[in-house]
Amino acid sequence: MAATREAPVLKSQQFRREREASWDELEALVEQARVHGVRSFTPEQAERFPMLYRSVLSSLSVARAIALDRALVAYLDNLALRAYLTFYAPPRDPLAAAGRFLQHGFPAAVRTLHRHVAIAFVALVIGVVTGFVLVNGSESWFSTLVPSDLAGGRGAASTAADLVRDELAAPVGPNVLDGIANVLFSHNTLVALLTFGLGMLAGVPAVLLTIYQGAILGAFFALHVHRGLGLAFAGWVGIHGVTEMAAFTLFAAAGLRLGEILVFPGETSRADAFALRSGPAAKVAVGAALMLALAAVLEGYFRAAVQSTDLRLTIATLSLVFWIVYFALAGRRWRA
Amino acid sequence: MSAAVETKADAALGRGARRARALVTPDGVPLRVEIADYAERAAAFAGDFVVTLVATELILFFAALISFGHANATYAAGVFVAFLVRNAYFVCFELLWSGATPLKRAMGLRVVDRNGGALTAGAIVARNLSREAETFFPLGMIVTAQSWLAAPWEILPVALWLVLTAALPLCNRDRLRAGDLIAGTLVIAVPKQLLLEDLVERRHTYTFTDAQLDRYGILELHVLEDVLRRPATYETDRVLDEIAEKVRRKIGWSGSTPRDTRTFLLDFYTAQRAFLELRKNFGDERADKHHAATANDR
Repeated sequence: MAATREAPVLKSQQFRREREASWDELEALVEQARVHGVRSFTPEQAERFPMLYRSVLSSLSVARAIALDRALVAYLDNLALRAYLTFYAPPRDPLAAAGRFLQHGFPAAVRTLHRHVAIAFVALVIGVVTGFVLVNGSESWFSTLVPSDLAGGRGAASTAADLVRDELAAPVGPNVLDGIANVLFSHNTLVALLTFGLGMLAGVPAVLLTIYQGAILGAFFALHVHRGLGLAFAGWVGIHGVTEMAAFTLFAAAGLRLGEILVFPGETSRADAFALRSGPAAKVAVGAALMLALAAVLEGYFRAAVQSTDLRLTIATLSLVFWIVYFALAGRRWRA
Repeated sequence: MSAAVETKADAALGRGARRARALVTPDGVPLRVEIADYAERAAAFAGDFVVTLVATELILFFAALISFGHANATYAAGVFVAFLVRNAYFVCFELLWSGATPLKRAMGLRVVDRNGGALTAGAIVARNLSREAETFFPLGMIVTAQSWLAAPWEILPVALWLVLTAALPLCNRDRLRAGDLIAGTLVIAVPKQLLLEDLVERRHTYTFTDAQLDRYGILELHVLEDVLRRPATYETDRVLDEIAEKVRRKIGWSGSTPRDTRTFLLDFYTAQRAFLELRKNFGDERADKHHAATANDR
């Protein structure tokens, strides 16, 4: 019994002896990529890496099938995971990624959600018409519809002169950045985020909020039309409002999509349904956030800098045409 | 080796605090990943947040220096700069370091695509922007509560929103926050694992018969492997003695009581593994010591 003997070589043991060198090589490459980035690979290394990655995946499959060495399988699981994360790294060039997103990803996602966009748009129009009709009938509705911080002193008591002086012809403020920041972190952004966030809860609040947002706009319109300032107001609000309302509509559409996934997850679990189907909604929300930022720049600076109603209306019309053409056509050929 | 046995072995050893799940790579291989703990993520986020706060303060401070106090930074401008800084920070780092911010990297956490594909720039932007609505917006409202609060109860919906979004990761298996749901991402822990030496690489002293090796399954083999890999302390030796005693009784060891328990158990481990690997090769995978009973039940 005291004599020691050479143990018979196990299959898993032999397997490890044969492959261990290639694992070490991959290990070194993964570590190098982690510290210095994939770009530090020499051409030979860049050629070896995909081969070693596939080989570790196959090693893992074999190990799971034949080896009962827990440490070995755990190591291969871990090495394969780290190699996978290196191999499928996100694009290293944020600028190129942003360019692709604007050229293709964003408009394509909007087209994917065209039904949701249509519903949101209809909700917005219903809101505008409702607001207009109500305030057109009786201006006392204005204070009911428009929250006081948004009304900013405007209301049934305002005269045409008040509106022109304090609103339509207000000059550029002393601090441009402040103006833009104020707009960006105001009521409208809150509503946009809520439309999106509440959409995730069920979708119905997103529609209601969009209708309400439209109603506020309609109420303002009626107030100005009564004082003969309809066209001037259209220019004043349209210069940024076209972009802003488009962004609202898109936020609401994205929110509706999330609500749809939540209510109808289909055959998978809700979390998996989100992973599979929320892609376009996320893209639309990111793009809409960029549009809100653009609208904030237009509102915080250009609206006051451009005082002519004609020019304001021109910018509004051009932006409307631009968004329609962009969402309808951008990136279509790219996909083919 | 089935994941169920793995999990059972983890449980038997009092391990596996992190939840595991499979992530199927585009090559079709399921990889075992560990979901990052809530506490780890909260700590990483808090650290990153402090870094962005300090960066924002520095920028505002230098901006004030440059303007020689001509224009005092207003609150709105501060909020704006903070917004830009933190989003640039999170998005750029997660892009450049493939899904890790500095604090995530320090703690070994990574953001990955839930479907196993490549992490896209859009997903990174989406998961970070949505944090604005989840955390920063209600947080900002609470910080500035004095200026808009008309009645004390108005703080409640904001606080509720903050609590709900913060608690969401605890309410699902994959610890997803709202931004992860929207972007289809997952935060995992990637600890670095070393390749430990194979316990069977040695000469052996004791031999066992097939009948003796018939008693145990893979679960027991894994537990034994784990104990054998522990550092050789007095405590470990006592555990080994206990195990050796049990094994001898179970398999009906007829030889003399071995002097060196470790050698005896290492030999038993080798023989048992060789035996179970062979059985598995023949399509007879034995999950644990009850395999005979379950086989008879069928």
